[in-house]
Amino acid sequence: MVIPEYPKISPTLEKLLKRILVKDYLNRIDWKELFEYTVTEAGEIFGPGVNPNSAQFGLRASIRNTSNFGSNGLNFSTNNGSSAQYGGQLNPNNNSVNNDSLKGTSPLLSPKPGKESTAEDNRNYLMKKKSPVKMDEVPTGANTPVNGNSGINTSINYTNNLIKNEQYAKNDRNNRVELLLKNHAKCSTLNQMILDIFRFEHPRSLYIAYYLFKNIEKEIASLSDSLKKETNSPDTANNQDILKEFKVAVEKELEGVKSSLFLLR
Amino acid sequence: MHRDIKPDNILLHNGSIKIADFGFCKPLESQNDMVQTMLGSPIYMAPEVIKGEVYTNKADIWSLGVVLYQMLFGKCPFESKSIAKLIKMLED
Repeated sequence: MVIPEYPKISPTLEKLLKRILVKDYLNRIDWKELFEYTVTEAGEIFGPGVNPNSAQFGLRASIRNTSNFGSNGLNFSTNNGSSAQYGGQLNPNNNSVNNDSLKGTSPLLSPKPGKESTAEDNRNYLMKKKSPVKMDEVPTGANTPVNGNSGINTSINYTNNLIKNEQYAKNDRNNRVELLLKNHAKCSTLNQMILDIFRFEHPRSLYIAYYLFKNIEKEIASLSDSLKKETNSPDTANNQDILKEFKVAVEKELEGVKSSLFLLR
Repeated sequence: MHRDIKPDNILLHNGSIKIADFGFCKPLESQNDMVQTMLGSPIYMAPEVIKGEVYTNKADIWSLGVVLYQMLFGKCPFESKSIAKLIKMLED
């Protein structure tokens, strides 16, 4: 039996087909094993022993399985339903860890939070958390757009490109730090918005917050890397104190986002 | 055992999948019960059925696999114009 190359099917589905279409019926899959496969409403198939409701897959599946998901927009003015509506894997007391992340194979890879922090600690931290950077601390002198647009920068390209362009970096070191500050301010604003969504504690808002946090985590991690390079650069010897303070703020921010992600998982 | 699983006998009703045409079905007392009557649609028949050998309820699983394959790829995994050729294909 040949499995055509197109359309592409998942390895699990391919394996299942090969287990079903076995000519020798003694070696063919039986009904018991067949029913151990799980198909979600979204059409995703999971093999025996893989729980679609477990950490990584559960969120995706649950999002799609949630009735009316996306039919109502988020209403920030009615942020009063803060009674705990966690369910299943989103229970704040559920310390289940995404094993794929531990193996380093997850596309949604995020470092494992410290063992000493509990989900409840993280939750309390998030509820009380304020952004480490005030908006009025952002330099206003430079008009250089971040990433060439005025929207919130969700790409990490601009920092990488700047690092590659050494000439630009040397000539425009101050502007570069300003860009980082601006980008951090945007990240902080977005982070605050996500925290507002998070505080809804409604399953839908938690799903949205999770994916937004994943994006912001990438952005802040990139920012943190850039700052490390800036701190080590001889060109910024005069601004070391400011940069170190900035670096600490960014790292705190990153830690907060990682805690949020851990909690949401 | 249904013994005639094929797309024509799988119906979609109000979002539920339903199996129809139990004309060939045979109740089995255990999973290992065997029968030998050659019934069904050749393309969806398990190799053991088409060859006239004894078969179990796993023959339905084969048919389901053929249906699944057809749904995915738009053709059956083993197709032939004659039963003899089909048997030959299934033996290879």
